[in-house]
Order: sequence, then C-alpha cells, then structure tokens
Amino acid sequence: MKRGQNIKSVRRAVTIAALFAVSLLPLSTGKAVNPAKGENHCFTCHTSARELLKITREIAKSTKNKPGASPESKGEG
Amino acid sequence: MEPLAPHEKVYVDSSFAEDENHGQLGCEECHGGNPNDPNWKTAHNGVVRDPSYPDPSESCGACHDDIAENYQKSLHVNLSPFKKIIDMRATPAKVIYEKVNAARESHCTVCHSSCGQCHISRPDTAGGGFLEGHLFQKRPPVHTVCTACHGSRIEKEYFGKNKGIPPDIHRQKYFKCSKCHKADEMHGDGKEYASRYAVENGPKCLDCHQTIYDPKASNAKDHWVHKDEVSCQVCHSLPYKNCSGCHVGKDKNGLTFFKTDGSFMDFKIGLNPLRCEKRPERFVTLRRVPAAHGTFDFYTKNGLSNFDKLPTWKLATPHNIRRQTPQNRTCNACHGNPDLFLIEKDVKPSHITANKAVIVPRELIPETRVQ
Repeated sequence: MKRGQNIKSVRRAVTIAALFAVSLLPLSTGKAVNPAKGENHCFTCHTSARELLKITREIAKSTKNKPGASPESKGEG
Repeated sequence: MEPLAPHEKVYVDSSFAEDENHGQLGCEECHGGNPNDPNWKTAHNGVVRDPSYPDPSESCGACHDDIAENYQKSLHVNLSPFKKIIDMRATPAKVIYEKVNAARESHCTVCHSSCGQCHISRPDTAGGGFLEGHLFQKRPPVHTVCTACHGSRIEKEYFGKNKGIPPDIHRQKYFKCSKCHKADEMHGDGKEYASRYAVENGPKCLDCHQTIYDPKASNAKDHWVHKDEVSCQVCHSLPYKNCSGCHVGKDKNGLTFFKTDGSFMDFKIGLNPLRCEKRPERFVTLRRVPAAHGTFDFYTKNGLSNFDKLPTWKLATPHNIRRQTPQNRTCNACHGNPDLFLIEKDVKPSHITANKAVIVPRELIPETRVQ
C-alpha cells in the first residue's frame, strides 16, 4: 500500500515537471536569433566548413599568381 | 603561433547565434553585404571585414560607447608615437616630408589594432582569422593577439624563448598580459600621449610590490638606496633583444617589405631619456631600436635629416624580470662595471650625437664599493 502511494506521487511529480517544461517551449523557440534564421546565407555558409573549403579553394585558384606578402621582408619586426 | 587555413579564418562557430548580445544582430548590421543572396560573390558586395576600424561608432560603439569614445586616442589604434618620432626626425622640406609620411603610412601604420582585431580575430598584421569562430573574447588571448604583434621582443623575453635566458618570473606564476595591462590602459583614457611610457593608467611594479620599502621587508635598505636612482628593470631584468638598421621599400610586385641589419642580445643601462616626476630615475634600461639614417631611402634620399634629434637607444621595460639577476647578485656586480652601461664605444659612430643624452659618461658609472 505504502509502495503504491510512493509510485503515485512520483508519477504526479513527473507529470507536473513535464507540463512545466512543455509550457516553457514557446518561450525558447520564440527567441530571435537572427543569424540562425534559415534565410541568412552568411550564417549558413560561414558555419559550414565544407562550403568554406569549396569557396576558399575557388578563390585560391583565381588568385594563384597574385603574391600575398613580399618575400623580400627580412628580420624581426 | 599556428597559422590558420583560409577556410578556418572565416569559419563561424554556430554557437555564436546563442550569444545573447551579439548573436541577436544580423551579420549585415555590422558587416554589410546581402544575407538573402545565395551567390557568395554578389552577397559580399560592400562587405566590411573589420567594422571597428577606422571608426567603431556605428558598430561596437553603438553599445560600448564609453569605450569607443576613447578609441581614436588609444595608442593601439592611432600609433601616434610613430608619427611623432618620425616627424621629429624627418626633413622639414615639404616635398621630402610628404614622401617620408607616405612611407610611414605604408609601412609603420599598418601595425594598428582595433576592437575586432583583439576581441574577435587575430590582428591583420599577424595574418588575421577568427579567434574562436567569431565568438567574442572578453580578454584577448595572449598568443594569438598580444604576442602575435609583440612577438620579437616581448614574447621571447616573457616566455623565455631567448637562448639561455629564463622566462619572466610573472610568466612562471601564470600571469597573462591582462594581469598587468588592464582594459582601461588598452582602450585609452581619452588623453593624447607622446609615448606608451607616459600613459597614466599603465602598470607600475609598485601597484603590486607595495611593501618593498617597508622597514621589515628583506631588501628594504637596497630598495631605499636605489629609489629614484635606478628603474626596477635595471636590477631585475636580464639581457634582451635589440635590433638595428631597418630599411623599408616595395618589391617588383609593389608589395611592401622591411629589412633589418639584424638583432643582438644585450643589457645596457643608460641615462633616462624620459626623466620626469612619474619616472624620476636617473638610470634605466635602454633598448636599441632599428631606426637608421636611411630607413626611408627607398622613398626619398635624406628623408631623416633631423635623425640626431632622438636617441636610437630608447627607454625599455624588458619583460624578463627575475628577483635575482647577474647585476644584483652583489653590489660590485654593477658598481664599477662599465660593461653594463651604455658608453660611447657601444654606440655606432654615426649615432653618437643622437644618443648623447643617454650615453653614460665614465664619471657617472657608480664606483666600485669597498666591501
């Protein structure tokens, strides 16, 4: 009898906790995080290593013959 | 410092969206460009890589207005001592001065920093690239920001990278740069300073070591005897790096370069060129800086006709502090030891006049003490 009452109260607590968690859901999904919005291509691309690799390789090909820094620099700055 | 691959430099950590302050802003609000355009080439039209330079008022300053207010006077941003020093040495004739000034702009001024180049990315002069996937760093990391620029001298001294010289004792106690160099000093206080040594809220050894003059302190007598006579570094720093003969120019592709004649380790005590109420010591450590008569020869001959107006051995605060050093082991390790002092023979003959005010005359070298 006592054990049955314990199980009941545990179930009730779990139900209340679950209802509370569900009631918080709209708050968390409603938070506006601009960069994460689907249509933001900056965020989509800059958070994808694969995409960035593809583009930076493309850039490297097109700037292949452009030297970056002068090889003539010598010494400690 | 490990270099970043091109794609790593611009990779954004997706958790940036969870930054409750900066993550709420659209990328284009700071950087411009078009976030709705799926074509990366056209989407980047008008993109500003570093929205905090040269004017942060519309980006960082929109919220951090108290810091942005002083931004233009921060020495990390305006590098104004470079201009002041070069202007003093430059030939005043307008046509020559303008060439020297253009060379300064092309070579010296590029080493500036900005809000973004300390808190978001590595400095441009150190190759750039986000620090932690564009997550804002309240305290800029030491290796990828501070010593990315202050590498040849400070990093090697502080971390004990000069052969045979141990690291700074503060490093061994795990001090990061920001332990002494607080944000207020880095951001500027709105005042125009002639040099970093004049900055009022810069660190002072006594900020922490207040008890050295206490009668009960173990070396109180030594500290009292030398008070206002020698800087802390004269007794407590080790040999440090000196450079000479910097020349700047452009290569056949139009890319800027610099060349120095070389560097050498040395420790030299000289007369304080910036003696004032705040720095009353007669003797300080001096570092050879690479200024040369012909630094700007590529751009114009005789560009620095007033070269002798400033010394080429400058006040220095080496970052390799130790409690015990060769020169403080005994009184006569320093007293009567001309090798520690900058005397005429240590200075390049063509630089003697420039360094007249810092060279120690023989009669000023403290005499050997009778034990």
